[in-house]
Amino acid sequence: MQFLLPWTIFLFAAGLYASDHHGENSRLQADADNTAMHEHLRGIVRATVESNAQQEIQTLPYASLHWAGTTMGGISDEEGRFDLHKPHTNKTLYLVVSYTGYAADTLAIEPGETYIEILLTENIHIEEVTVRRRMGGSFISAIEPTKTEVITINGLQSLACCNLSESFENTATVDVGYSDAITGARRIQMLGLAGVYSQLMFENLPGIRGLSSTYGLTYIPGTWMESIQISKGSASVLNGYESTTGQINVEYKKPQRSEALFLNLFASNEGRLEANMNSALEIDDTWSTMLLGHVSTQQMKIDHNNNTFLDVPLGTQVNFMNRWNHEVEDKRHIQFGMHVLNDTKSGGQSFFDRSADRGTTNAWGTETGTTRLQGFVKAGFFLPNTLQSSIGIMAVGTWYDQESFYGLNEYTGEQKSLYSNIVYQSIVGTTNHRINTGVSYQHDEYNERFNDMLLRRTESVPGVFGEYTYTWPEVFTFILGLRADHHSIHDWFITPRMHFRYHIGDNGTLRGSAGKGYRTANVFAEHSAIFASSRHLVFAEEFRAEEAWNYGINYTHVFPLYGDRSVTWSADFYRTDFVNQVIADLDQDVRSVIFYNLDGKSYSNSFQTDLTIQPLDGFEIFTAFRLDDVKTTINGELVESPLTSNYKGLLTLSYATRYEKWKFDLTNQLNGPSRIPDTSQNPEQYRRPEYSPAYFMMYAQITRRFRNMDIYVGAENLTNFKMHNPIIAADDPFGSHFDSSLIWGPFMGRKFYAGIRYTFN
Amino acid sequence: MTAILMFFSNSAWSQLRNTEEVQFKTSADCPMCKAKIEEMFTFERGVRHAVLDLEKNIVTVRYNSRRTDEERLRNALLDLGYKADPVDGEDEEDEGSKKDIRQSP
Repeated sequence: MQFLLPWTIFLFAAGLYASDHHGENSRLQADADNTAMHEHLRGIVRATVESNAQQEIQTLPYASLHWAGTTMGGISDEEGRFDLHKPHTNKTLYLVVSYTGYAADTLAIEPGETYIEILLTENIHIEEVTVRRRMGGSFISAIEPTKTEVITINGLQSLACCNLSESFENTATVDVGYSDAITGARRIQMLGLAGVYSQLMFENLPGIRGLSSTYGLTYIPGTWMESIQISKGSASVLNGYESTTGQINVEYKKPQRSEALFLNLFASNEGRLEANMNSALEIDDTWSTMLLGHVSTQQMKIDHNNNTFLDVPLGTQVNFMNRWNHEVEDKRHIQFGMHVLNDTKSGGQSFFDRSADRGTTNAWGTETGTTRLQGFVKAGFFLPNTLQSSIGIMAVGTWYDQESFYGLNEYTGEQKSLYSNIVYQSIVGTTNHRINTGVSYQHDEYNERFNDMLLRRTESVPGVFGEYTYTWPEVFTFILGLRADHHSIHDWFITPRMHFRYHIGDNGTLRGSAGKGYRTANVFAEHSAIFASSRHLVFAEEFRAEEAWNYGINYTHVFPLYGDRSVTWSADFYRTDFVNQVIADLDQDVRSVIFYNLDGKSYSNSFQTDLTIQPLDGFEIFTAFRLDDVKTTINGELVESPLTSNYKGLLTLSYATRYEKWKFDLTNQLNGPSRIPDTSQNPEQYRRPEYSPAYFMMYAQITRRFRNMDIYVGAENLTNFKMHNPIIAADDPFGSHFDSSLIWGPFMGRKFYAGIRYTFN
Repeated sequence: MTAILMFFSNSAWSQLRNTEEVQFKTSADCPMCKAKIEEMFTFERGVRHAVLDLEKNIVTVRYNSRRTDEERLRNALLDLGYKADPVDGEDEEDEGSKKDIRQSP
């Protein structure tokens, strides 16, 4: 840990340097937020045109657009559409729009805005430009070099419940399921591979990794989030060597643009209660702060399938964040904050009495208590005397502590982590050639105990990285990145990555990516479901680092329809090839789980196609289909990865009346069958079929908006589909066949909920 | 879904009971003002439908006469910072008279 001290001092000194320095009038070209993303602003220009004394709205081709105070800009195309690079800043930008016959006008573009619709009005007396925004529940960004699916606040609110793990029902890219039938832990999959192979970030900082991958998805309350960005395939080398299958980045609400007070109350008919709040305060022109709070609890005992085990663990989560924002235009942007969390869960047999039954075979119970503290700093500084150079610094420190028991098994885990990086961004000659380069340091201390087994591990990983971006404006972008990290256990990680994006014609975008990813497995955290079974843990050998290549290609096309409507269609294909993987073998022996390094092939092929149509004002249809072929070598045989469904279909319908006074959302999911690990060695009553059936899920919600308030009611799993016997040998939990980890679908039935959101500005 | 769409279509609203209509001549003349005014009325108590004709500067509001009245609607528009004059600009006292609406040529 001594290594960390100089970093802390450096960060502090850098902050002091920047806050003392007053430079010339040049723009802040980057900050920690944006170094990894080359932001664009996309949109369409329209104009009101007088014809035959009728006012008509038409798209406006060849309108000129440029950023006030810069030479950056472009023109709209034949359809009136445009796609501009956005100067890197977190301040409001001003976009000047002009067209012969119309007076030039200026629009304020807020940070984070990626799409606008501009309407120029022809008026002899006053020349007006106005901005109207319409954003669906999710959209595919046409401008990021990597294909990025964005779930907006609108999309998050159409699925009112409750945290990050429940925010993916509207996308076919990410699958969410329960790890086991007892603890409430969630697992996600992307490209048919476990969520740990994708990087879960918050605001481009490492978010859920290591031990928190068991419950981490439930630690991010839904109402705290501003948006979720999902990108498949290799990510930028700026964010580390870990992402293999993709990246999920959560943006929390920001102090500088959030409600003065926001309250949310939620209740479900199964006894889940939640309260969320956030409150932003602007202290002066440069400082703002925000509090975010969350309390949720489950006190009602639910056991619908009468197997004596609670379907939902009882428990309480208390979650709190305070964050600060300091922005001085053209000089610096600093954000920092802290996040405190405490979560307790208890489950198992409904008659389990902790004081009398713990450590006995009277009743099977489980309890988990988790505390997590997290602090983060992000800072961006422009460099004086240069127009295009900047430095971004970020650091996040996490302390995670978990104590639990599962029947007679005991597990405790502690993790101390620090991640920090410094990125220097500059251009070479013109803005068409951009360079990002920097250093990073990751430090993790793991201290785990499972019954008598002790696992201690310290990982220390300094790294260097560089990334070159070539932009042929409006046509082609190419990114080449390379990083080298020295891992204290696994030696060198060399990570090459490549991305390109090519606009084909006016409406097509072709993208591709290729790259490598590494990670070290945390077998307990990633396979915590094993604790809630009688399986023996067998570690066959020392684990090597997990290592995989990922290649992908995708195409998005916008077909213009009548009026200003369009249909967006996209298709993508991704392939992941493992060089090494830590295999959890549940097939070889039904009474154990054997962990070993991959010996043979392991791969995933994933094809997905999405279609979005807006046939009427306010009515949107989104449909998607995904096919997965995921195979891995288990016990010397190339077999389908267990519990990975091999296709998924999605149809969401959403309708909103004018100004979204009423909103109706309906989500339909079809989940394909998945292979269930071999249970043929079990006595007949404890066997499971080889494959699970395909199943259908339906979610619906109605929202009524009032001026400062929203009221919503909804239902999950409307068709009431559930696994009938999610737990094997629930009647004999201390026997040798007990297993709650073979979960391929929902085991809770139809659920209703209602909630209220209150906003005060 | 179709049923829902039908139910909330404009024609369905006007067939509801106690629906009355009022028009105001206002000062809004830009699409953003249109959005602002229409959104305000959308969330105003008792309002069923509101639309602003930018060319004529006239906002037409259909409302439930048991839940609101013209005076409240006029005040709501004034509170937003726009004019709310009678459409028949000459007769100040009879501004609310719904039957007097004349179409400008």
